[in-house]
Amino acid sequence: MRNSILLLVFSLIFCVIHTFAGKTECPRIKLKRQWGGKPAKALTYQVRPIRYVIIHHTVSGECSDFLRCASILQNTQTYHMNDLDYNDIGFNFLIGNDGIVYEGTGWGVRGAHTYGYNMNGTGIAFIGNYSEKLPSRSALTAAKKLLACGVKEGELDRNYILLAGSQVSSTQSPGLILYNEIQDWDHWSLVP
Amino acid sequence: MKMRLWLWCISFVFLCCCGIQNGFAYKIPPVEMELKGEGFIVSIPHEAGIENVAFNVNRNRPFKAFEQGEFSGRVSTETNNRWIVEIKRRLREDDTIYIWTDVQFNKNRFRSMSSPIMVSEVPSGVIAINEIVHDKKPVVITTETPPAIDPRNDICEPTLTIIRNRNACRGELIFEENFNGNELNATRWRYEVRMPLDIADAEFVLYDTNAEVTNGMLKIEPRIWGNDNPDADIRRGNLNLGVRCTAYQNSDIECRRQAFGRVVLPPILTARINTKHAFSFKYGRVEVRAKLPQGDWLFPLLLLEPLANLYGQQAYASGQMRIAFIRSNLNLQTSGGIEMGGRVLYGGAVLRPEASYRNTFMVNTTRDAHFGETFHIYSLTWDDQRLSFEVDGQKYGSIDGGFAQHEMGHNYAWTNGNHMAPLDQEFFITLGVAAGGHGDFSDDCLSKPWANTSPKAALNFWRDRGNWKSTWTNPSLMVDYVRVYAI
Repeated sequence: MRNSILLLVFSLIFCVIHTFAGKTECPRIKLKRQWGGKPAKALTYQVRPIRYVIIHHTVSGECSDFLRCASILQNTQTYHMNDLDYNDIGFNFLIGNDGIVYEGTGWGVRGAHTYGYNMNGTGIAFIGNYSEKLPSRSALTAAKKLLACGVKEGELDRNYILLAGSQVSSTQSPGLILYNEIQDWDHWSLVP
Repeated sequence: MKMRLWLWCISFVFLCCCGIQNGFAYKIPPVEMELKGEGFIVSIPHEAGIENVAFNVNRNRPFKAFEQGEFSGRVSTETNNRWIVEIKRRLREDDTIYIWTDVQFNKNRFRSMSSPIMVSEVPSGVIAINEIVHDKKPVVITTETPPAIDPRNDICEPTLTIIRNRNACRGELIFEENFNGNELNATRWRYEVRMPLDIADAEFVLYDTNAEVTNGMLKIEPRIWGNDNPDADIRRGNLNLGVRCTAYQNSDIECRRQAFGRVVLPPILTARINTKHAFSFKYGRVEVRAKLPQGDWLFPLLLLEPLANLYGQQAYASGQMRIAFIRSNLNLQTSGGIEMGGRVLYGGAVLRPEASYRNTFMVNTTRDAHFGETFHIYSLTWDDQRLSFEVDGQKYGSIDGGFAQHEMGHNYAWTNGNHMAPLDQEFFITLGVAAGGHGDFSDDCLSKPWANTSPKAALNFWRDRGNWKSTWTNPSLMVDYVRVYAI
């Protein structure tokens, strides 16, 4: 009797753990073609798993609905491909204040976001300017989910290092307030 | 202390070996494609060390770079010992599929562009490299993968060279034929079966024999018609090459001939092969190691010929490049005493059919010995400014573009092209041996038995065989290799 109660308790605990482990589900990702993006001019695949995650902001307008976000993304991609001559939009992912993750170059494909960290890093940008305010709560949650998902899927190194763009290149990105926020995140490292 | 040093050494060697094992010892195998349900799958076999595989696939649109395909997929787990991406798109029978593959092998990435895959046979059998048998079961097609980009130096420098269906990096070997095995590699070479097309410059041959491939060497031997066909009468015979004829421009001239009066069948039987269906390129460096034929009125064909004849089909309007050219006569002089025989090597372009202009766009170099005595390495470097020629690594001349403005070369259509027009399009490789003709031996050559403009030219050449037959002691073209590099 005692044994079966113990067994029951253990199975309960197991179930709970299992459910929570399963909670690292991936956020909704709008694919590039869904937001009206163009195919990349060239693709360079990265060696998996990726060691660095670099956080940026786009210094553009903000968006909290799909149409507005898509329009900003299309403009950003055009600017990156036509004016800066990048192969694609520079970031691996972009996150709107609607809490949706928008695919840039995506997992495992080199972006053009941070000099020295493009080949072994994933660049994630929050759409907007976060020098003086934070992105929406849902955007921050989406980012954390995306990172957990990346680890679960084997795209990111289990011990990946999270950095702000400003830590490794001469930029204000992702803005001081957002930089303060990500310092509380698990994988943030003061030293690159 | 000494012990420690030893340990260091051993571990260093060990590490080096492992590094080589893990990092550099992988080459992407041919991609297999299989039709499946409403779509198709592409895959490569598993090999220990592969971490993940990405495929980019285009329909009917060659990749200009390692760019994003119409379909793009990446897998991180293998299935049944293969890395498979399924694409749910129904293909049409006339689709051509282009694929590039990117593989993470341990901590390195490798990528390669596959040869195009034809979903069905092309009608008239022109470019069908891979054939599908339409069966109930899915059919596996194997493609030949061009060399992967060297991972040790994965910076791919931009190149001027453009290749049909795939991209290259500067310096990359984009075509290599060593003539291994016992027969010609049909995925690269096709035999031509036809008579010459251009009436103003028709060599006196029928291209309809096979070359020999032995000991890593291609041998093309011209024969006098009667040697092979004792019954054939070149003065009264009727030749119809039928469905074997590979003519693609004018089958009335190239495939059929009735001898009558001055019109004779070609007195010489020889072979001519090309890469038209398999390999063509624009700008690059071609290198051929060959022993040229020796014998009066013979000449080797080491050519680049235009793939599309964009500027016209007649009279070399779309141009021809000669990697190397000699008039194989043992002794040949013009009435003015100019040496023209096998000791003079030419390289250049043919842009007009007339014999009097044959040397206009050519450079030459003279040696003491006939070029057919031994093997030499002939090379042509073709870029967007000029053609440059070398023999055995020594440059002997170059020809600048601007043919549209040249007084001897002017053709109005060329002004639509660039500086090199008409040599600004894709060209394929041709190898062969020819004899006689109206365009390669000028009429002021001493003891030439025919006049170029005479309707009896081929007949007179044939009638004179008592004089030239005995000089054909080494009439074969021998080719050791052909290589093309991106520049």
